[in-house]
Amino acid sequence: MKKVFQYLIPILFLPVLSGCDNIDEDNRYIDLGPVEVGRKVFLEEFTGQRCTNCPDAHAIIELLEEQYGDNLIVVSVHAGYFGVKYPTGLQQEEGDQYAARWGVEVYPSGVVDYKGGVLKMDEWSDIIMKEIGLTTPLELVLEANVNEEGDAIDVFTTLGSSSNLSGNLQLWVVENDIKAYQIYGSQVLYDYVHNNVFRACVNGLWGEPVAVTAGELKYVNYSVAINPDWKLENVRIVGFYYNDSGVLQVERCKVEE
Amino acid sequence: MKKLLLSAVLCSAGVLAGQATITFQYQGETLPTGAEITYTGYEALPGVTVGTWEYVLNPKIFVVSDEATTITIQMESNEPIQFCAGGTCTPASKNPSKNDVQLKAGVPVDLLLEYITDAGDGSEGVDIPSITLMISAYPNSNPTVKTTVWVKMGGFLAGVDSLEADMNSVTLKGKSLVYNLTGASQLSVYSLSGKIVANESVSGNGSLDLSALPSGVYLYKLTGKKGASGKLVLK
Repeated sequence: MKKVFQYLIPILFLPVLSGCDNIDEDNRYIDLGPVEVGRKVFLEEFTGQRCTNCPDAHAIIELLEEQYGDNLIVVSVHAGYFGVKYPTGLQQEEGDQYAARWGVEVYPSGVVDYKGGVLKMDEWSDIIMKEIGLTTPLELVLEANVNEEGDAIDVFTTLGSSSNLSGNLQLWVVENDIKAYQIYGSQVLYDYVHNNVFRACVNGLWGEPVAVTAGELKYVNYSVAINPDWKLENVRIVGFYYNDSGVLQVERCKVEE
Repeated sequence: MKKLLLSAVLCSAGVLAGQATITFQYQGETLPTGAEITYTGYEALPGVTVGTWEYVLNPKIFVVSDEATTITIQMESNEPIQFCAGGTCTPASKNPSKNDVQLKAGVPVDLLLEYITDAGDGSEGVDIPSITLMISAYPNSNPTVKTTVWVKMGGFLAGVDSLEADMNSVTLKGKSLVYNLTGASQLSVYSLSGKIVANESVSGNGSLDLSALPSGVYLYKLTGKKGASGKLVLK
């Protein structure tokens, strides 16, 4: 049964825009009526520890996650001029390549379901709401656990579709609750909590081509070495399937130890 | 007749719309186009690596329009400048620009301009180059109406040791940091290793007790519309 959510879109917190007017408590939400969830939605956020406005985008993401729950899956890719390179910071080598793919020039930015190009943070809400009501023929199931040796994460994916599909399956290691440096305005926050942080690719920079036949389940398994900097209880595996039409489905799972 | 009058009104509105006047403000004053300001301040910001410091020049320049409009802001500088007006930050360059900054009528927007040095050990000075920055803005609906101001800054040695305390709003009395503010702010105190040792939201008159801190040199930072920073020596 498809979930139906009553969506209240808040007038989102955007303090860096031209001085927000005080809004009555009764007028802070716009009731858009019920929205039927057709699929999960993927937001790829581009961010940086030295990006003064990026915490505002993180606040918007928290709000959106609260509204949509597991139907919205976010990955924060640290990239570009405002990123701090690993191991000092959270920017992985792949970050710049992912930002270049979309031509990201300003931060924070985001791409929803690999459609519509690069969006500013005040544009995410509308697009996500539209995407979440769409349907997809693809179901994706992920499971992940630490291997017997304790040095790698084994990832098991199952794909099923009602129509023939060709595209790429991309799997990423993502970590929550990382306390690290973040600039916010003219403040430096050393214990800022970073969530949804892209940490590593499981199956290559752009994933791997996987064809799915209608009515048949496809099983694809991978393994990724565990980086000792990761806290496994905070690690998630995010997987999404995409082609020229965009991201068709996205899923996320914990790592069982 | 009514239709004619309505058409005339609509036409006038069409003509008048997009005639927004854009101005810059600095320290609460409106700058005439062509104005030149000199900014001599800087702030020490803890670097990403604990124990390092970066020095930030951030003249607080605001842009304002008399009508709601979207504007373009362009800059030319001899040194890379970053700015974050309008919600997104452009990486530092000598010609940063944005063409989608939305303004509400009469509401100033901070350009959030910054020149940032590389991180260094706070005890060594960092030569900040002389920077000349031209800032222009115009409504997208009327690019011919451009407002331009000039900013001169830098050209001195910056370092934790050379940072002078701005005592206009903050005074050290014994081991208490006494403040007298007109608005709300955030008062932070850092050790020389960059670790934050005290942090409090403050407003009006009051004091921050630093008696728990060992004697030594610290930096304080007061954020807000009229920020301040300086060095403290606790004995």
